[in-house]
Amino acid sequence: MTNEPRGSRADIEALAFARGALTRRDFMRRVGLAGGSLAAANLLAACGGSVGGASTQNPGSSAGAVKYPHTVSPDWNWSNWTLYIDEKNHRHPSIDMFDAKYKTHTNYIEDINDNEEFFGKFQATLQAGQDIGRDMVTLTDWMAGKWVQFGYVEPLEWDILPNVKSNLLPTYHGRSIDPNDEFLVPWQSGLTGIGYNSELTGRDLTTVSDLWDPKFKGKVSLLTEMRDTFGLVMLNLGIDPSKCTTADAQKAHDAIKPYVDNGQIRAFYGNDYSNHLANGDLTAAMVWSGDMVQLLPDNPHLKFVVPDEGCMLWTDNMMIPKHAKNPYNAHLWMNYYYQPNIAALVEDWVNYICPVNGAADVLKAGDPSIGLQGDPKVADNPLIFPPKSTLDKAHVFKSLSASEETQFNTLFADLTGTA
Amino acid sequence: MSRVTRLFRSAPAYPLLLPGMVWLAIFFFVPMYYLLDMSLRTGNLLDGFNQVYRFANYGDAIRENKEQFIRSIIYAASATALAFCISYPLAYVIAFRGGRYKNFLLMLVIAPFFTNYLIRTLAWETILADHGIVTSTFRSLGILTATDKLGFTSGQRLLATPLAVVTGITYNYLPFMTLPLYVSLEKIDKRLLEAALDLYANRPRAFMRVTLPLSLPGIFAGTLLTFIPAIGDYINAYLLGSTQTTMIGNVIQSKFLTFNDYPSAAALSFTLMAGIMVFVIIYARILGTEDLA
Amino acid sequence: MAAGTEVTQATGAQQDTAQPRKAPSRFWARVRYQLLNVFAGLAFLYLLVPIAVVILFSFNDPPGRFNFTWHKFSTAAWQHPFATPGIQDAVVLSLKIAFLSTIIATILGTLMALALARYSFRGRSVTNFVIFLPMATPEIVMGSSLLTLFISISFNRGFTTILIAHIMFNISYVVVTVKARIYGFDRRMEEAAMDLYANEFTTFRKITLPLIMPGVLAAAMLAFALSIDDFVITQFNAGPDITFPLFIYGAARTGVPVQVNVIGSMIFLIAIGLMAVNILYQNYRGKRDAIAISGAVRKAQLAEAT
Repeated sequence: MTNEPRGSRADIEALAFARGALTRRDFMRRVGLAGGSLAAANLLAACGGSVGGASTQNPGSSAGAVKYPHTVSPDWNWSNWTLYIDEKNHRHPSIDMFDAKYKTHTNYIEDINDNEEFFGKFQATLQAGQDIGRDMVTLTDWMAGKWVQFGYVEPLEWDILPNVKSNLLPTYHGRSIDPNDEFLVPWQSGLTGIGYNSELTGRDLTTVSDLWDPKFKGKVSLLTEMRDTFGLVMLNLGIDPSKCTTADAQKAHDAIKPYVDNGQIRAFYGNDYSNHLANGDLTAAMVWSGDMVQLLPDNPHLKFVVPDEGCMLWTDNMMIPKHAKNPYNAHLWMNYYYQPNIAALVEDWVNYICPVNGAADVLKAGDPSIGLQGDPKVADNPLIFPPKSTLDKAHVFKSLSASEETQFNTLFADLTGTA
Repeated sequence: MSRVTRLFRSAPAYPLLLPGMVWLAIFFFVPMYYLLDMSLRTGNLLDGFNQVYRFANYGDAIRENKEQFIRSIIYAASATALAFCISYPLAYVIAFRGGRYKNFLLMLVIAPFFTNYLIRTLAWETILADHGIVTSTFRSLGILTATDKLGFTSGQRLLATPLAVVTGITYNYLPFMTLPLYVSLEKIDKRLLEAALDLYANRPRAFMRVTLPLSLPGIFAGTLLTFIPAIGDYINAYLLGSTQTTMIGNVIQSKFLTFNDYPSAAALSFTLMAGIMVFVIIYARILGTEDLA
Repeated sequence: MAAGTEVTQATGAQQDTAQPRKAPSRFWARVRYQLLNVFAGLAFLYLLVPIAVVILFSFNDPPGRFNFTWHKFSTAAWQHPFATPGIQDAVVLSLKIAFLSTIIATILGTLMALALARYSFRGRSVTNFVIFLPMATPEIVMGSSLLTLFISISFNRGFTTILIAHIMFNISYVVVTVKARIYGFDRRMEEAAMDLYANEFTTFRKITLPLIMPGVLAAAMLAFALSIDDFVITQFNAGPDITFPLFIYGAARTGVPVQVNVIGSMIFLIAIGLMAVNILYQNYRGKRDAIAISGAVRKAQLAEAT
């Protein structure tokens, strides 16, 4: 924290342990415990299905002035990660219903494979103050925070987001990357832990140290998201990733480096670890929770585990890029998605952690009006609606200053072989 | 000299050349200037990149990525050598024994080009998978034990090893080697070979003294056409390799498109370009061929 | 290949009986001869197996999202090749870029080829060098330098930049292909035409263009193929736009849908089909010309005889 130029925004210091989850004020008030894991612990309340936790803050109270023309455009563009929305017969039912309801056409573009890469594509345009041709993008909290910080995001008009207002789980309010709820609406959260093929391991894995088992040499992969890989390894070393320093990153780097050099680690992957896990090229890997659920049809031996020492928690957020042409459509979508039944429809396929209150109940019961069958398996899946014991172990990576980010990235690039 | 030829001679060629040359100038040569310009800057995406003529960027970039440079040279050279060993007999058979099937056989040679580069590389990913037939056959034959010892593979597998990357590169650029070899072999006058056989009375010697030297232009063109794209390749290393097989292309790509570290990426890119130019000039001197285009 | 082999075997056998004393060395010569054929056969296998895998897996019906292990035969993906969201837009964009870049590069390149093949002018060797250079530059260098240009002048990447890049790398290939054709035909036909019509434009339209047309078409086909297949330069300069190769790259991370194999196979089969037609047509034309010539000769002979 010492080398962090923090500037005027006192609130941002909360990022140090709450990146994308809670402000310090909220922490204290709600749980009265310390550490980044709390943020996660709070997620469980309504996620587990209890509907009680209505919004305690009045979102947008300070930003209610924003007004966009309330006209639906005939089409609009949304960038999202691949395989991150419901799919049926190669269509996206939730989008089809949205298009029919609002008489619009959603260009749903699955062109986000990597936060940095996506940022690189658009940064120049954003900096030049021009429209990037997207009305909504879905980025992970640290990157979303960066966009907010640099003024690349249009503020939300809360008056036309009643569903978000009432159904957004309380833990997501006032997050330090967007303290006044002016810019971001969560899409999905997820856990980063260990995935493995139980048939190939022949035993249960419980900690990151298990990845260094010589038996799995060349059959292990880590993640290209620096925060996920360093985060898990830091936890393994007993370092809290919510308040780590460059020295800690160095320690994490040094812990991983020997296994890169001796070939224990096969590769660093983004979403692409999944096919290698599914076909047995990998025995164990750092993975994102939702993927493991989706991969079961490919390989029933795949398991996800939250390491004993803890896992990472992240959130992907919907936001409207500056100068977007159709902000009203994006608002309509956000509000539409925050209906519990639509969220349940998406959740039934996506299998990450849902930020919409009541979705679990709909999932359990089903909703014939939108073609959703009751799916208690999903509703009761501890990865999708994680129990408190899991969330207690979930940590959020700290927000890095520009200089820290460069240093962390340099250390990380040395590991991935692209220094 | 006829009236027409004289007319052609005197008529200016420049208007015909102008549009294409302007296009190449603006979109090939000017970008090279910008690449050089960027390689001497410092800064980052958000604060901008300022021109400070920092030549140390080159030293830093090369020092930090020495490993990847060396690896790229080794992989590209291996792939070129392999492609040559596969292509020469292949081109020879097509040129001298193809008969009326020549065109058909040539079509088979370029067939891989008709499927997308990424799709065919992904097909190799399937073929070389750890639990695939190829890997298990190689393993049970003990081949993988041998290649593991040689350092071509590791851990009794094919995928995510240097061998897989080189195999992929060789495959993807093989037609670039076969076609020029075929063209130069095809041009050889068969009567020369007969004469050589009479003269040397020994096939290998006749081959070494006549066929091989006559196919030299094809060898020159083929090796360059394979080596140059191979050394800049990053898809094969990305899809078929591991952290131990990253090439300089992977570094340039990730620095440009992921980390947005343009100056050092530009320095690497420019170094690669300059290195290839020097190599081509030296190589052309050695093999004594000047006309490529 | 097969026919050639049989013939040699036959002659070899004859010679064996004619000169029994030399049998052992003949035997080894034959082994050596066949060895080369076997080697060539293996090389073809190496070339074609991955394509077979691509086509085979276009008929797969994977249970999950990965099309890696063979599960069940199905033609579902062939019946709905554009069923995967996003794939149609990607293919359409690729086709648009390929058509436009082919047309423009073919025009620019053909003009340059004409200039180079026809005129001797100052700066000819420099021009040749300029055309050669892009072909001797790794794609990643071209892609990254063009990207640097666009970044430096703050030019938004997208359709226009992809098109610019594709025209750029296609020009050289067009020039080389067309130039080879121009060198190959008889200049006297043009000269004769010029003497008759005495108009450069008419000569170009009626004589030159039809003569170089096969070369121009070949160049256009090559340019089209290069454009539709290009990944590296496109990845650097596409910005937010997604061509078919970029779609595959994205999909490779999360599971390539069977439809990618289907469209890949389609492009392959169409290209092979076009090439086969071309080969057959050339054979036919060759035969037709031969027949026409022999007919004319016969007529002349008949006329002479009577």
